[in-house]
Amino acid sequence: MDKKIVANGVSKVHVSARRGERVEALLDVDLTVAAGEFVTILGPSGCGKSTLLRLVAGLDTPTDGELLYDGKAVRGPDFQRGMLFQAYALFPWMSVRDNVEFGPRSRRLPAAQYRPRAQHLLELVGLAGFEDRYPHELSGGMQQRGALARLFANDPDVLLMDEPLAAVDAQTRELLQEELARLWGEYRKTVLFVTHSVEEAVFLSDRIVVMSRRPGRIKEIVDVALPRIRTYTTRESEEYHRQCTMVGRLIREEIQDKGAPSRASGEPEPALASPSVPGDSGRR
Amino acid sequence: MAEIRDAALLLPSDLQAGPPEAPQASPGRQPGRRRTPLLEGRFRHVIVVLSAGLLWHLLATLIGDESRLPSPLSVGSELAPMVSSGELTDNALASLRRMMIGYLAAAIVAVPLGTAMALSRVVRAVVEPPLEALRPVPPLALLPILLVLVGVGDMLATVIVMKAAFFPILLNAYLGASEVDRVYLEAAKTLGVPRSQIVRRVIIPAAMPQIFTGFRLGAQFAWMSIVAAELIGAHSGLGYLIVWYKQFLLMDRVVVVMIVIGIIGFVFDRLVVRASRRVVSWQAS
Amino acid sequence: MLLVWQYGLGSVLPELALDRVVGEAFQYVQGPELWTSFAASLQRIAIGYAFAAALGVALGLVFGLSPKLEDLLDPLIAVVRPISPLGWLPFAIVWFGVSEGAAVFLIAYAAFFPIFLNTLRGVRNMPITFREAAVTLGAGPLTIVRRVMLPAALPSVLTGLRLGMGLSWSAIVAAELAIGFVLQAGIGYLMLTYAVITYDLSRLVVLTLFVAAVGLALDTALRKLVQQALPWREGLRANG
Repeated sequence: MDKKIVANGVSKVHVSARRGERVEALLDVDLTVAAGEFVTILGPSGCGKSTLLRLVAGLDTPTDGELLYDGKAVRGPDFQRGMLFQAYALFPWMSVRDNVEFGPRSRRLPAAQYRPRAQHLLELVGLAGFEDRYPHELSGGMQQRGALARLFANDPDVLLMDEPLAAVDAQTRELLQEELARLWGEYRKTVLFVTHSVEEAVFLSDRIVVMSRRPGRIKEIVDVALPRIRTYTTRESEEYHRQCTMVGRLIREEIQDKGAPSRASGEPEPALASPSVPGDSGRR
Repeated sequence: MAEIRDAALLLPSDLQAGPPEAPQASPGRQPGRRRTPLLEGRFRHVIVVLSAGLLWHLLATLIGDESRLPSPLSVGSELAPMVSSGELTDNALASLRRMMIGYLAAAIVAVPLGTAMALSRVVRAVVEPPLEALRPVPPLALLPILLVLVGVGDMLATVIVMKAAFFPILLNAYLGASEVDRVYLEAAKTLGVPRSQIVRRVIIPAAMPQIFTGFRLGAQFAWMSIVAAELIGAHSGLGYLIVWYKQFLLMDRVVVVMIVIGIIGFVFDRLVVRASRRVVSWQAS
Repeated sequence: MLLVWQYGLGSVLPELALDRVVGEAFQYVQGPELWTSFAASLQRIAIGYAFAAALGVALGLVFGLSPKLEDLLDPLIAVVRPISPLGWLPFAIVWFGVSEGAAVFLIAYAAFFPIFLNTLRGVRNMPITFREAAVTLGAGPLTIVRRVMLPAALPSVLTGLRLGMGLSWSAIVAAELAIGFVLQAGIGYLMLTYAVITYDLSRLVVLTLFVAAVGLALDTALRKLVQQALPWREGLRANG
């Protein structure tokens, strides 16, 4: 197995400069991501999932432990570990096309090489005809697709995605998930994906890393036992529901205090929102 | 009146509600950055000021001519006699007095007026045109007219200060009052707060932060204008003092006055900020 | 309001009556005096402003890119800012003599601070996500400055330039009021003449209104310009 990303005992402590508070974001994380795997990091708010992603991206450094990419220590960001942000981060002063071409152009690749590829990608994500529009003229979903195209245009080795679909409405979110699955199927890149949503995680990934509450530790790593090609029909399968329920329980434990939920005062068991309803964003 | 937002941009960066500080100060963040402890300690500001002083001294010695660039030493040595003779304090107080009168007068009129404009379309319609006509007039441009009308003296300077401080306060009061989140108003109404009290108990407090921004800007403009006004049309005050010393080419004394002006302006600004923190302590920032 | 002016003020000071002022205005606007002085003032502004803009933007960028530098110089700036441009008049005169140079210096000084501060803020307040996105796309530091930080800061820079222009206009009037006698030209000089020598109130009012009108026109024009040039400004705010 070709190990793309290896984390050994990675910890991260944030020190707020203003108040001097120490926040333990991550504690002793061990993780291995193989080449071509789609791994999702899933967990409640504040569990450090974004922090872990940023560490892998090289936008931040761990306080402890080591982080390896292709066997070498991660030292700062690189285009091979490309990132998709929750806030899209499309540059507002450039057209969509210019945004998509930004990466290869900054790396001084010849236009003949990147231009057709950029165009192809724009069509692939469904933005044909909007290439020369500016980000503020597009909807959230379209902006995110633009960001996706920008990421792919660079042909990075590893894709890091930080809750990219969180700011998108429910219907578009589902569609984008399917598009992501399709794109991944075509290119088979290594992906590290962060999300709140159980359904999203199950739908997209090979493995799900379930994180505990802060300080973020790995609670459990779940292998998603679904056929690898995911389409909308996958959502209707029994297996999918089962997986969602199981993973959902894991998350619940973290939100509600570990172990059995307390029902001492006779409060009724909180109703499990049915995971079979499409578009239901996961428990937060 | 979108200019208000931009007017607020004249303030030093620490006031602006900028993006919350990201916790980036974790150790090991930027491998390879040079550490310059001298410039990072708590005394760094002092060091910077001292270095600036040193640079000044070097420049002054190079130029040599005291009337072109007085050296910090001669400036420093003038401080004592100026203070002990009372002229520094007397004139500073004169300037401050005028500024405060003009500033308070402006505030007393501008805050209610701005609020009223935000709340009542009628008031706004009546008052806005003349105000909009008056606003772009630089305060000092009024000086000639005022010279003719009221002659040199206290009144002149005070009126100019009023004009300078009036508009920032007015605009910010208007902005603050008009942008009070609907939600607060609705909450108050459904809690049964009578209409007569809504203004006093909901709108004004909610608008306070913005009003204080106006106070701060107004104070800045007021202080700058008072000095400028005195430079031209007064017989006392710090501005006048500058002109007086310039006549005799006592530039080192001029510098003393300038530094005093700067310090007073700075201190006053800090006072307003301090006051605003006290009054608006509930603001999450 | 106009009525108040005419009958209220007009009765107190017949010279300020509306009809006289308006009549005066019409006449005056056609004469050459107003416009030649205006041209003189504009010329001074042009030079001073150009200096301030170049220096202000350059320094704003440098200081913006280095938070440490900015932090270090904060107290110095805080103490120097409250000194109004006119406060530097004595030095301006000492260095340049009572001449065009002094006036230009004052204008440059006045315009400098808003330009500098706003450029600085523009660079500093850029949402950090943009830089991170650029970096994870493989852009080198120079590219980042050129194609990410500068455009991101542009709206603020332009705002600063606009404010600077407004302050220039205030400053020129003030400066000319102070030393206009020697220069014998400029709007401020005209105002001073009518105030102190000729006592021509209605002309004075016309001039004052003129100053206001020009200030307003400049500001509005610049604002529209910025809006045209940067339709994507909203996108910047939404993202940060």
